[in-house]
Amino acid sequence: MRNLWRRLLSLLCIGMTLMVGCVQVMDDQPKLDPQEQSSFFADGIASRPLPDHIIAADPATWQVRSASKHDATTSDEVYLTGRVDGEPVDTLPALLLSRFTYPELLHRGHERFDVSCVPCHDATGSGNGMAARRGFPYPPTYHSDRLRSQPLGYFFVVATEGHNKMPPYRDLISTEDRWAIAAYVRALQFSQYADVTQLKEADLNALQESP
Amino acid sequence: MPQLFSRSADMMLQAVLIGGILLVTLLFSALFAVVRSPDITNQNVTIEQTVPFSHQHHVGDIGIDCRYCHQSVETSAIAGVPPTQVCMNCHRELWNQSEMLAPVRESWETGQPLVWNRVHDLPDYVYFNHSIHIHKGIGCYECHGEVDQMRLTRQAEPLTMHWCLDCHRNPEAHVRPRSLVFTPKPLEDLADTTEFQEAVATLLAQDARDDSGVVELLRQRLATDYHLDERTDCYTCHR
Ligand code: HEC
Ligand code: HEC
Ligand code: HEC
Ligand code: HEC
Ligand code: HEC
Ligand code: HEC
Repeated sequence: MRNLWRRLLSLLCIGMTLMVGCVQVMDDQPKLDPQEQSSFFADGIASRPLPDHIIAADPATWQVRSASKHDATTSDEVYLTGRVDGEPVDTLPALLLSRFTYPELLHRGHERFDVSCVPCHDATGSGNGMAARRGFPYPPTYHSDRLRSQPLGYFFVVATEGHNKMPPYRDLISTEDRWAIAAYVRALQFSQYADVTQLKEADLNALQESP
Repeated sequence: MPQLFSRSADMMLQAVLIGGILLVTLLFSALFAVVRSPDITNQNVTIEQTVPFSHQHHVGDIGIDCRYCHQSVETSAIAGVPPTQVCMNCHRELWNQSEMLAPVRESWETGQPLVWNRVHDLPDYVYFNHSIHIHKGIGCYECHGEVDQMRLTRQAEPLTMHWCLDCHRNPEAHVRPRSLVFTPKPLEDLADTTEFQEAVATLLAQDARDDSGVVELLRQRLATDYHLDERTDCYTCHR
């Protein structure tokens, strides 16, 4: 009997000693974390790139597609490309307005513009962003007659496809955020070139009182 | 019969006993100190990278927002390191002959991602999620320190369970307005920013605003506004 206990005890001790080794295994488990290296694939990439002919689903358009069955294809196309018959549209897509209010859109657009566009275009849209001052080609100011007369969709199209030296942001900013940014760029233009007669009385007074 | 043990032997025994107890205590304290020391937790160790990417240049000098590069930090568990495309947005034109950036250009041409060595790495049995912290007003600064001062990225905090729990027991001491989450500075240093002033103006009563303890008051108010809870159950982080 005592012998059995002794054996169990020594087994326990050996087991516990061996378990110390388990800590390592639990630290780095066989599962793959996002962006981790993998020895399973020849190129070592655990987060697999999309095959050539696959387009990632935009969760927003999934919702949209089920909401408006009629006319789904053309509205999707405007929403995704910002163009009708190859020309930039001058309104926000109905699909977007059915999901967000204008203040929501502008608020979101402001935030995303500050994240994605400010390094080159500057917070006011003047084109004097820090990256430009450090040697990137200077973008044009948004406050020129040429850009003020562009339709709203043009800003979406430029953000999506890029423009000469400006990189495309199709893969880096979601479709709805690109629309929100376009709306905000228009608001920025107004902020520097508004018609005073269109102001409400309270705002006009505030303007006159400001230095 | 003479004494078996001399007086000095008796003292020796006592010394050994007391010394033994002291030694064991010391050993344990040393052990605890060691597992929490930067040598074990890798705190403040700078990690060499193939491309010497500098947050000091990009965040401190140029002022790029964290989300330009760490895009998924608000919406998912991981912040992620940026794909090569993000670097090429600027470096196709800028410093496009620089020797330091050669691996970036090569990665862009071959489509083979850059290899970044991890700076922070929790054990796989710990569940961590960025988005909840960002959403609840916990700034990058609280866990990653003054990133905008770092030439090479280092781990500013120990990342031990003890450290996580210190905050989870009292999140109110670490919360900040959501508009300042991405500014890598202590909240106390940001009292002059418009974001801070706006938060104070919307949340605090008139008479509390000029108080010297305005930061504490704001934090208390934010804790209720953001519904901060104490999360100390084991299943919060071990699931
Ligand atoms: C890496 C720097 C950079 C970033 C970031 C950037 N741009 Fe640009 N942008 C440029 C440059 C450079 C030009 C000038 C392009 C040219 O004509 O060569 C430009 C031009 C433009 C134009 C004017 C096109 C025209 O007809 O002249 C618009 C509109 C624009 N950008 C919108 C955006 C928006 C919206 C964002 C954010 C999603 C953005 N840009 C982010 C560099 C940038
Ligand atoms: C211009 C792009 C860029 C910007 C902007 C940027 N980062 Fe990074 N970040 C990187 C790259 C690339 C790495 C990987 C190399 C490294 O570890 O230094 C990284 C790594 C990190 C790491 C360490 C990751 C690890 O391996 O554990 C942290 C933490 C971090 N960034 C935080 C921030 C914070 C906070 C901000 C905003 C204040 C920020 N970053 C802004 C590009 C960027
Ligand atoms: C918004 C534009 C922008 C983006 C995006 C960007 N950089 Fe930079 N980078 C710069 C600028 C501007 C400088 C020059 C800094 C200076 O003048 O001090 C620079 C400098 C550098 C340098 C130093 C080059 C040298 O020879 O001294 C390295 C290395 C670098 N960047 C790596 C990266 C990596 C890696 C990424 C992608 C994660 C990245 N950058 C993304 C704008 C950018
Ligand atoms: C509550 C603490 C905390 C906050 C707040 C926080 N991080 Fe982290 N971060 C961590 C931890 C812990 C890890 C290591 C995660 C792991 O190893 O799985 C990490 C890892 C990272 C990484 C490496 C890649 C990854 O996702 O694992 C980057 C990049 C990063 N953080 C950026 C940021 C940025 C940018 C912010 C602010 C927007 C931020 N973090 C806010 C704790 C935090
Ligand atoms: C600076 C403060 C702080 C630090 C440090 C911190 N956390 Fe948190 N954490 C919070 C707050 C605040 C919440 C949100 C609590 C709530 O639900 O109100 C949270 C929530 C979480 C949640 C989500 C809980 C749920 O119910 O879904 C997880 C998981 C978590 N933290 C893990 C960690 C881990 C792991 C670490 C250490 C590596 C850590 N946290 C460090 C402040 C912090
Ligand atoms: C806020 C998040 C959090 C909570 C809550 C939490 N842990 Fe942990 N735990 C961690 C982290 C992070 C580590 C990894 C520490 C390290 O690597 O140094 C860890 C490690 C551990 C380890 C391994 C220790 C080692 O040194 O190997 C054990 C055991 C553990 N936790 C048990 C628990 C128990 C039991 C509870 C509940 C009372 C608990 N944890 C609650 C975050 C948490």
